[in-house]
Amino acid sequence: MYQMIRIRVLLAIAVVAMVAAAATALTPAAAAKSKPSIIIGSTNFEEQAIVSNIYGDVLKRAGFHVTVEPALGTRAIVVPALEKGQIDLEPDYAASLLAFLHGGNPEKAGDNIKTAIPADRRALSRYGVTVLKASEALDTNVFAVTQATARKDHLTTLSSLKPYASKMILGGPPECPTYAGCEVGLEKVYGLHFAGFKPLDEAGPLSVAALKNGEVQVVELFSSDGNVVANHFEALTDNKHLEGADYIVPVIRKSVDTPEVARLLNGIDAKLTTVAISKLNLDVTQKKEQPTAVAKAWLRSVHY
Amino acid sequence: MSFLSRLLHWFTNAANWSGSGGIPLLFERSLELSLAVVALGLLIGGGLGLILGHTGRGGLVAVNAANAFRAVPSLALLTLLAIQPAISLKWDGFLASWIALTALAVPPILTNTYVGMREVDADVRDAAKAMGLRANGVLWRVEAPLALPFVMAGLRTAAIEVVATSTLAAYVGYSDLGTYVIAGLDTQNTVEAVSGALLVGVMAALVSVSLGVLGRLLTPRPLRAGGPVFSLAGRPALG
Amino acid sequence: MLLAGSSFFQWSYVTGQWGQILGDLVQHIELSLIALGIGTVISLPLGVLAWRYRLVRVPVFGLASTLYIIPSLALFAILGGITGYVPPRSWVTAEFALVGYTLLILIWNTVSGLDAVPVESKEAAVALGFSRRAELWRVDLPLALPYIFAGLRVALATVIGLVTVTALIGLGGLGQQITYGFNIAYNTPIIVGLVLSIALAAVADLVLVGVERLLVPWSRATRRARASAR
Repeated sequence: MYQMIRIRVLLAIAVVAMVAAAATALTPAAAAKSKPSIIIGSTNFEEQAIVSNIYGDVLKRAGFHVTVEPALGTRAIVVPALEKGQIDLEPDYAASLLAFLHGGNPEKAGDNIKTAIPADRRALSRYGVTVLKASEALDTNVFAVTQATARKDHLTTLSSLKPYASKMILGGPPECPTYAGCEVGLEKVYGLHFAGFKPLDEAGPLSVAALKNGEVQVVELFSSDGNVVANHFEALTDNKHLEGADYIVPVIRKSVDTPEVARLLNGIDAKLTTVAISKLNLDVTQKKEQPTAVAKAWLRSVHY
Repeated sequence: MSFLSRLLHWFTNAANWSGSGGIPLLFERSLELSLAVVALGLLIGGGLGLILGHTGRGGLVAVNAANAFRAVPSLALLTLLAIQPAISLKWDGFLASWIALTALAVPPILTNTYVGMREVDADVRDAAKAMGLRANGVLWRVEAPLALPFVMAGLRTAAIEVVATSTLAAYVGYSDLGTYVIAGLDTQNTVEAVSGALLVGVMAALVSVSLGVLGRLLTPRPLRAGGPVFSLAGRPALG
Repeated sequence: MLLAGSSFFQWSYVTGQWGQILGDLVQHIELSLIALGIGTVISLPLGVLAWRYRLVRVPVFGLASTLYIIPSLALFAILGGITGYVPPRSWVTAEFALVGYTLLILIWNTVSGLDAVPVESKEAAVALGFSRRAELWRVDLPLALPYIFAGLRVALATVIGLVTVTALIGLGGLGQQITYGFNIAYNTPIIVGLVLSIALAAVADLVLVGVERLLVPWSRATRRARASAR
């Protein structure tokens, strides 16, 4: 009899603990007062985390109830979350977003920011989502070589790689060989046929290390992430415009896109330049400062 | 239905069956990594389990510690090794993945080996000694064969976990079947991601079945009925 | 790469980010306990059914094995579209994967525990006039408890390790420390995640051992008896 009671007690404890934990975890955020409450989602890419916090601080200052959900995952997690109304706002990149919305294939409209924004809006409007004006901060894929290689072979542009590519190994994210903005585009647009491809990471530490120790001779990095400067790499100029107009843009649900929100975000985006975001990235990736702190310090520095 | 037909199309597309990103090569690389991990895990976990079980000293502590080490996040070890300049990218990312996943394989093998050794009847040991076997003889000719079914059960558990987790190796630059999963997730290509997962599932099933059969073959005939044919957690070794 | 100093581990990070680390640890505990709780509630009845009816065994173990080997990464991609990507809904997505992982371990141990009940005990129950139901609750399940607890201990440690993977959908508990550290090539947060996971598992294991001693006092006596017989 005791055993029976004990087992039932055990079960009861398990269920109660479970429900209690679930309840604390699932309590929804406090309801908004007068201004709409805004959930900002960020990918686990540090640059987007910085910009999310900048947007969040600006909106909070204006009296909005803001939640910044950090590191939700990749774009494949964050954009569907926005389309389904699970978040209200996310910083993204005009051309890459457009390509994503078209099943991963880069669109012609993405080549220029003037055509990219309307195209993004068209693709998103059926979800009740739109895109505000672009910031001044550009972050595209760049293909980098070491300074030694650049000097030896007189490399400045992607075109200048042509005579050497067949002896070089290209490094990049695993999807690069089938992605139009990566190896496919380098072949089609520039006629570059590499000796091989090495799957690494999305412009992260593996990519940097592989170029440094000579495992690859060309690697895909991001133009604004500071690794090119910090490691004295040479980013080759995209002289035939393979990469799109990847300016940082606020992607927002129409339900929270009030004139005040648009004015605030457009105002801060006008100050967010490529030079500025590159420095903020360096603070996070090299000096190991937190994205939240970096965002606050920058807002102070631009007297916001 | 359209998803299933796209999945079928992915698997029947000839381009996915050849070259450096093809299914045969990536399947082979996943298998190579998993085998290397399980082999090293057997050497470490099995070896420690034999020694601890034979001497009977410090065993419970080791087994309890081994259980806590099941909580080692493979992602942490993988990424930590991947950002060490001396290890990252060695042998195409193989070294970092090999070390990190071995930590996953050791606990179940160690626990099961130890339990198998302790389950050997004291009378059998005494009989072996009475027949003039030295300590080494008792270990290799009596205890180890009797513990073998347990070792194999632990090996099987470890192998299934290692195969499923080998997908994470692609996250740190070792291209294997996990590459399909990660590339698929990065580009919102669900078909590719699911195909990769299916292939990993097939490999796990193959590995599980072959180790099950091997374990049965290696078990002395009289022990077969009672031996653990498929034990993930083993006997209540920790209780 | 190492502007911030070249030491392998930096205490200043731990002291400076303690609030964040603690928050991640709490989330880690919550994710793990919910998974174990739901896993137990599902596994015990399924284990009893699979033990009693041979026909149920095949589908139950088939399903549990399938959930066990699906890479969690792929599971998130498939499930996220249905259950959700953002807290609180991403908790459901994460728990789906975590619970799925515990089932095989827990069901297996429940069945082997029930299988191991000595025939003599069952005969005694029949002789005492127990109904089948009373036998299950008062003889079979109590005697299977050591096995069930062994399963719980393995499942809990495994889940604590696995929770980190849910960082890929924005949760992850200490997994957040790990992905952050990897993104910016920073050892310290990864080591923090690693060490705290193991410490958490060790503490949780001790708690489970304590609960088992309360619930199954005779197992200690049996073990002592067995030990002295050797």
